[in-house]
Amino acid sequence: MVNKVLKLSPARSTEVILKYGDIQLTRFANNAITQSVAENNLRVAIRVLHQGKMGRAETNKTDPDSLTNCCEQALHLAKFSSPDPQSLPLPGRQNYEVSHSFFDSTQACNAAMRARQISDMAARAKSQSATLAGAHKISLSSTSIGNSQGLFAYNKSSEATISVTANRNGATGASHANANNVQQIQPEALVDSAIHKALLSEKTIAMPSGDYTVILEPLAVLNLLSSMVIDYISHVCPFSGTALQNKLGFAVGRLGKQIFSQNLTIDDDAYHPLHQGAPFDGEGMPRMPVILIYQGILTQLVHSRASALHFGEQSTGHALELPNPYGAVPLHLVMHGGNSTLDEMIAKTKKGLYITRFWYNRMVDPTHLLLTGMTRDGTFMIEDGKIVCGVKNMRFNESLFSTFQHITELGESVRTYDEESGRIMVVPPIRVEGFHFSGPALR
Amino acid sequence: MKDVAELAIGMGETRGVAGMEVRVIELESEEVELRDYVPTTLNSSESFGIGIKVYRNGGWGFASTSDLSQAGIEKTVKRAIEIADANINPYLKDIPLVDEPVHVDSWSLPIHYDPFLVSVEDKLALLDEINRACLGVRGIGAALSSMSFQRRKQYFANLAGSRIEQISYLSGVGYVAIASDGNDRQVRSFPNAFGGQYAAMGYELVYGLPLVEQAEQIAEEAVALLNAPDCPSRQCDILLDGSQMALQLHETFGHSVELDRVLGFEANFAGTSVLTTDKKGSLQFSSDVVNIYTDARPSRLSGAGTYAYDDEGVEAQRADLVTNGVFVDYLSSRDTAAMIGATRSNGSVRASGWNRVPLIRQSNLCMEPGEGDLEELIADTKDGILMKTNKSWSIDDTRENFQFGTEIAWEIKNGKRTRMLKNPTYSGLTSAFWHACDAVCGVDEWVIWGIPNCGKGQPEQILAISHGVSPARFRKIDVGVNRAK
Repeated sequence: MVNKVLKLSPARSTEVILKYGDIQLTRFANNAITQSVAENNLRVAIRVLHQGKMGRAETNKTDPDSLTNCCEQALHLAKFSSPDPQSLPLPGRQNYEVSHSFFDSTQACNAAMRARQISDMAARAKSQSATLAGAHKISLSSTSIGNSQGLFAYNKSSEATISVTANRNGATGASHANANNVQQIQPEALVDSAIHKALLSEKTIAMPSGDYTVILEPLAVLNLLSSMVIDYISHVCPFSGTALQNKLGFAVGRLGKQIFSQNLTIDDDAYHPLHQGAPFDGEGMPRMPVILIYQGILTQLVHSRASALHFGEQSTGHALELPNPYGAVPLHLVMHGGNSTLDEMIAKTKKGLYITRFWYNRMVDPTHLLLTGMTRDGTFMIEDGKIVCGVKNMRFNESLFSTFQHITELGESVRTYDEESGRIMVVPPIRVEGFHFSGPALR
Repeated sequence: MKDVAELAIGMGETRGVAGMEVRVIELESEEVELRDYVPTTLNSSESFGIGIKVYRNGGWGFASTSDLSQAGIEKTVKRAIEIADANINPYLKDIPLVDEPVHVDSWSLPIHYDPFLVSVEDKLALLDEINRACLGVRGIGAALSSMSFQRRKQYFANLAGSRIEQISYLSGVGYVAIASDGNDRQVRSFPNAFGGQYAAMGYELVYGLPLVEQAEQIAEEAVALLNAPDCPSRQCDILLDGSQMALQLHETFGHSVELDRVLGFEANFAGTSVLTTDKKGSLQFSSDVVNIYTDARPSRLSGAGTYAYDDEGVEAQRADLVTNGVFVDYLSSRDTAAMIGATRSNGSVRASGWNRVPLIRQSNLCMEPGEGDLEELIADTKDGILMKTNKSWSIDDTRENFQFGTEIAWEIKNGKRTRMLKNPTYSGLTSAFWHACDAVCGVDEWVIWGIPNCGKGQPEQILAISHGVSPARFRKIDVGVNRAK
């Protein structure tokens, strides 16, 4: 089909992206199914280059007339656009790694199977006097990119996500899991984990504002790191060459400098065994592993072809589909772990807070990476090396520079998924000193 | 569209569904964004498909497809039925939908200038002029301006016999000037953050705003913020401009009265609500100067959440939600209305496209104007801070504990606006905060602000909504909490 569309294009330089998606999702609440949906869609995006200018049009109508119109619309936009430095000649044929991210078992998980699993999970919750809410999602997708210079790339993947929130006497606990293969997710374990957190939260106390030693579960770590990936005010990804080129984002003046503690190393690696991402980016360039932070030093940024050209480097294969304001974005972050277990971290803590997740994080001051947000579904007090009770949800106001400069322990990195941002990262639990909470929940 | 919908309805009837709703939707959109002098987005798109919801054996299923061939529709009807049949222990089992009359109607939003007929060249030229004006101010490092337009054609059909055609438009335009001095970065947006102002209008929205005229002042404010003192950490009165009031209303009240959320359906994702069903009709939610209503009906106000019928085929209505401070109603759907014993949905169900199941959403959720203007309110304030244009917003999963920040603020001393403040924030608890509202400006200051990025549901649905509000004052509020370390 890519070749069919390329033949329809009146422009000499044309790129075609086909995105197919089949998404099925069942949601439940109060131990019953509340929503079950399925979506099937094929999207065609056409980008043409014309005299140093670029235009893009998209459609999901796949008859020849609609595809021809779409090609002509892209050319029309290009003709009336302004010259664009991102309008590099299209790349030619590339070589790609193979990702192993599609599983028949995930494809086979239909509405009836999801309903049975949810029914079993709800029964398990009921037997422990808890009510359950959650979601069970199956996503099948494929991406093809081809262009008039002979480039062609194809990848397909499957993904399963189950999330649950248990409620016992008004106290809540949550657990989430995401995998390419649905068989790697154990729904019963998720329910038990969520109920365990809810149980621990049945007795809560309000803690005063102040600086705390915190132990963050991997989801809480993802929630913080995720806030650094996109600067929504300036429309840039601070980890990208495009941001630096435009003198925007926290990397300005910091490349090559120590910005975090020495025990922190962050890569972007689509080929990490726990990621298995698409082996090419939105321009069809092969994804390369990139060390963004090495022992606390901001070492490298991700590049599209345009930002790479500006800095005299090579594309790292992180471009989003063009045109876009962000340039390149690291989508497969890996925070290197350490040797500590969560139990060891707790045992070493005389007084502190154990945090399972953050919620509704927003950047208050992007220059200083000052972030605010709330804890949710499981926050606990640690005293003398033990979790002693639940803590009412608390609001934090803290700089991520400070947070990642005060990591004292790291655990094993695991694949972690956040429903709020939709991001998947491989991150460890960490222990941080002096994390600032501006106040307890005022209720 | 009609033929496709009728084909699906016929297939559902043949298969013995108890109820069925079909929406065929064609969305056309165009987005243009300029960073400095370079287009960073120039995109035209169309999306056409069908969403089918069926009720059977007490459960419901929803399936959607972009394949509108007879085989594609048949497969999708079958898939929706399979999903409905698979739902073991569905919540709807013994709960009926509230009645809604059968509607056979056609409605099209009246516009003056079709945005899709204005050339891309003209749009880029205007954005270039705006950015040029911003970048002409010394200290401005970047300027971002954008426009977006959407035309939505929709055909709704249900098993009861409703047949509703609607055509609506959504237009948006705005910009942000970014100042930087190497140590700090400050931004100012116009007419609002989140890409500007959005409305159910044609290109007349763009023609009607003083975009270029305001650019220099907006850019100068961004530069001035670099050297302004930080908002202090203390307690004082705050005055919120209209655009921040829109955000305040949206986050702390609007989401709290979505009845699906109140009933626990969002407990795992978006969260729950403190406005539980026992509080309807009795809770003094706020001070008595606060009156809140929802009104999606087409009118000259052109809120971004305007429609003639919602996505369950319920006629758009006006409904009072807070009267003289008393919480009186929720935003509802046909099933949730039945669950709380209401006799009719107030028409608050929307879907972002053909591929999403309709959910309870805000539309045009507004606050009645009070009296006087902002200058009079400033003159009446002894010790306060005037905050303008949202910059950050965070709220807990029960919509109670919030912290919001704005781009700019000015201190008020003895009735006079004095020094500019940067990084202003304020925080509070929803109900206590609304109880602290003692003054709402009058109708001359009342503006309906469009917000394009309201998200809800899984898979997530992003929709534009509007809030008609005037500036207002809140007594003794914690400000500058972000700096209290």
